[in-house]
Amino acid sequence: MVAKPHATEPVAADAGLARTVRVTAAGEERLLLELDVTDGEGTRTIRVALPLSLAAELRAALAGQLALAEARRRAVAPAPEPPAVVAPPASDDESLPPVQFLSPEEGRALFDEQARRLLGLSGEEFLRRYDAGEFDAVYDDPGVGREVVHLSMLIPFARPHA
Amino acid sequence: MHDLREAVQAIVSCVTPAVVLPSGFRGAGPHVLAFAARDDPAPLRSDHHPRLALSVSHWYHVVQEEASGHWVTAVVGYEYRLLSGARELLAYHWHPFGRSPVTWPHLHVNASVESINLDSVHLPTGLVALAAVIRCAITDLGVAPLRPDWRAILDRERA
Repeated sequence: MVAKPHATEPVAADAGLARTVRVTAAGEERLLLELDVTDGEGTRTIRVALPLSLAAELRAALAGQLALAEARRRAVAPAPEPPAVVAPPASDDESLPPVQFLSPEEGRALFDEQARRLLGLSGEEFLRRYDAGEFDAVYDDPGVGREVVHLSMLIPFARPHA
Repeated sequence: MHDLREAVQAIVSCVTPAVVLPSGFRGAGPHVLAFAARDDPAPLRSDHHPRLALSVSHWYHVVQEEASGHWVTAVVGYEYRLLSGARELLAYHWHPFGRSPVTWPHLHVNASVESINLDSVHLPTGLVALAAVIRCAITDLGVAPLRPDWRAILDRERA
């Protein structure tokens, strides 16, 4: 039986604990759950194919379990950690496109493309001049100042970990 | 991030097939949801105003709720623009982290009344929901909704 993946929908993207992949198996759409389990023998990946009808409940239950596990872990070891985002249940709106995560390079490319289109500058050059305050006099003014605002709103694409 | 992204995507899907992209979810942020460059601004369908377009930037922080321990998103800024071609008609702004001294939510209107150019005025507003702007575009500006359940979506989502 060959499973053909459609799209990956991270369940707990930052934690990297589990993910789901919609597949077609024997002509029927199913949800393939991939769960990374770590025990004394190391980390193993468990894969379970389930009917699509269980997808929403599965994601809700898994998100709840991960949130609980995270809360317990933090209670035992309260040292600050980078946020582990526990995704809430995905909506039932199947018409929405799946979430796309950009790599840092893709984010910088998006920002660079916008900077060149809006102001004729590379993304890097815009950031240098923005940080130096060179746009402060026109910031939020009609025309070019409004494009500066738009680009400044997009800076997290260029500096995703700022 | 996932819930906010889904809410914003659901709202914009009422008027455009453009996809919103998250800049990320690690670290303090702020992060942003926005259209890909090729879709920004996203054309809107309207018989009366065929060049209408929409641009959306939505800033958020990822924060942990003290009571539940859950990681959730908090909206901390936005920029919603309605354009005619490349010309901006309306711009709803809240950019508390930018270099502007205007850190409160405001509106720019590309219009003049007598000798006053409203485009350069920061007309104060409360926090404006993207869903409210999209509803206005549909009901008052004649933008064609792309899905039959748009009212329910705009009632439900408050991003």
